[in-house]
Amino acid sequence: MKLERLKILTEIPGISGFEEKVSEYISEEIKGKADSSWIDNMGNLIALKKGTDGDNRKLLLMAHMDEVGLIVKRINDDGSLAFYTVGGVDPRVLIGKKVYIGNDMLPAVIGFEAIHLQEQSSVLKTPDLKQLSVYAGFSKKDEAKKSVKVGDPVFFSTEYMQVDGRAIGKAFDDRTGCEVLLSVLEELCDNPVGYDVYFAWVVQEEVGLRGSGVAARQVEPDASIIFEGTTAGDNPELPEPRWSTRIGQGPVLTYAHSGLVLDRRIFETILETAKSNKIPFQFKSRLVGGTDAARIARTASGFRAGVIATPSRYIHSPVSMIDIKDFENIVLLAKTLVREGKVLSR
Amino acid sequence: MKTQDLLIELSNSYGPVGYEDDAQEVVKKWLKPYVEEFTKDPMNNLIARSPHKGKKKVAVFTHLDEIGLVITSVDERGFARFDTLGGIDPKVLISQRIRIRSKDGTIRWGIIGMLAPHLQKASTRGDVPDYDSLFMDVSANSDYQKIEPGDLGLVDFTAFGTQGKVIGKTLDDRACCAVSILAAKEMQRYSVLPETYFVFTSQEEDGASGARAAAETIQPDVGIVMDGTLVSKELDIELGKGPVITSGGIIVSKKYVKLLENTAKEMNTECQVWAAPGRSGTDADAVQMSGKGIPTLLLEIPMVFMHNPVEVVQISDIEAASKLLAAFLNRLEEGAENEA
Repeated sequence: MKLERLKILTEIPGISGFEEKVSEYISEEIKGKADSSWIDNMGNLIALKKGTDGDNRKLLLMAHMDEVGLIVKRINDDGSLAFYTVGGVDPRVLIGKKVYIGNDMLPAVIGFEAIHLQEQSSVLKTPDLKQLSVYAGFSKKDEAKKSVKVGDPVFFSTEYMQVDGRAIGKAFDDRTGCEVLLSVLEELCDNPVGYDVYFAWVVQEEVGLRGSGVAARQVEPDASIIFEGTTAGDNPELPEPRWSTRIGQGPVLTYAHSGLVLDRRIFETILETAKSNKIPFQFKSRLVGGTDAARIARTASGFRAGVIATPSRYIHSPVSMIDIKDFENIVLLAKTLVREGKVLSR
Repeated sequence: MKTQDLLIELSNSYGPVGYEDDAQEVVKKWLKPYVEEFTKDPMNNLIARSPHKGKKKVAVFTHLDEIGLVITSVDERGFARFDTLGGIDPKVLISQRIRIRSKDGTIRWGIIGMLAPHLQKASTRGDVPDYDSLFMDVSANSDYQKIEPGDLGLVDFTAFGTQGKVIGKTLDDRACCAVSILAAKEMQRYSVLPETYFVFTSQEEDGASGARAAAETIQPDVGIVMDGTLVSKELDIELGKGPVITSGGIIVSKKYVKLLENTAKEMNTECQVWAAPGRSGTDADAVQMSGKGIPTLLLEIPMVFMHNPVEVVQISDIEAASKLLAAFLNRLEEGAENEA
């Protein structure tokens, strides 16, 4: 597990549908480590680490490369850019932020009318997304058109920062998962296992779990584990019994979430593995939010999966926070599960 | 000196209301070659005196302080509550990383977070949390217990230049501080100049107590206040159309407005106009009423997204204002000599 790599991964711009820079980076990282790898028609990056003893069972580890963000919907007459949100983005987290537009990373900002000009009654009202726009310094439509076009992605700009035992940055959902997979692949280079391990870094999770199904179909795994970033919720807005997870309390194990009750045998194997190896864990105590497990359960004849997640406060915003110990324990749990291979037993 | 670099360095410097000292050092660094002496007064105004000895005495006021946050409490789990110094829209604070400076100078980090959409209630989606419910998560700092009431926080934002503009925090009023610095340099073109004081005022964002004191101390014949103003369709004020001259008869001296307008004409400097219907909400309000009354001018730089961490100014407006100001000071002194 490399925190320097997590930093790089979170800072790469890669909203849903524009994951190329993430997959390019990961492709470089897995060179010489995986036995084979390919990018499929949707942009998923899939890699295979072959087993050593002809055991033909297949384990699939999965994480999504995409992050939430914005996409240019219209160039306004005044040179500003109207946008759609891509994935779940609350308008309230966008104001006063720097963003980057397009693959060339044109810097821009999202501002809001000065408080001096606002009607008193509207100051505490959530603005409609239509009231917001991306401002890149252009004053006319024609000027903007030379550098920006409809369909350009807009990325959050937050740089990763480590503060004592925690990390602050964007896209922990789900670049943490991307790093878990890389760490497991490297572990397998040092300590191989008998069966085949597939890795899928998938696209378009945030816009309806769109990439994972076709990835699973290409692999046809006997079991899968999805590594995710999940919402914490242990902040002052909610009473403690309604927190979903809490940071610093270990890997999040999921028995059920939006749209799927997870495979009981895999869930229990993960739980037993954490217990017997004395790896801390917590349960996700709210069922909100889905993962690619729900998609692959609805793919082909249905693929069974488990979900392990890094708890993160303030996800789907430009600034989120994880506890580094949680993340290290997820990597440890992932490596342990792969070494023991019990999730494959039926 | 590159205007963009000057603006970026001023924007990035630290100077919440009443704590302008770091920003003062940045001003000194850039202004030093063009002035004779720096002094600080009891209100924490930084005053720079130019080397010229004219008949007239002029003070140019730009405020160096910036809006900021002040910690009011920290709970046992590492969630702080805070208040604002100056007017800040809570909407611009959500999901910001905050740089917290404690009294001993230690820097710690906070996040003004919000519940992820997955966990929000439909009934509260339409509301922006006010300062009763906004919180700052300081739990990442292993020693967050050392954060105390009175420690100050600023949104962590690094200014940048694009399309002839600079975007960053606190360009209100650091953009005008840049105008003063550039004007001091520009004054080297002229031999006839008044005795000039550049005052980088304290506490404008919270009651303008700095400018008032400095005006009393200096007792200038003319006070020139420069501040940021809002780009506005209603007022027909745009970026890139030059500085905004405040007109009318309430805050400003008609006589000197005329001289300023004539100077702009001679210089072919494009300017915009704002008619003050009463208080201007700038240091000019206090300067005019200082001492026995000071003939005052208010020259403003248009900006977009004022009091956001992403204020936008046009470099050409700032350069035009500095040339205009230097020329005005020259015309003012020439006029005084001709009268004598």
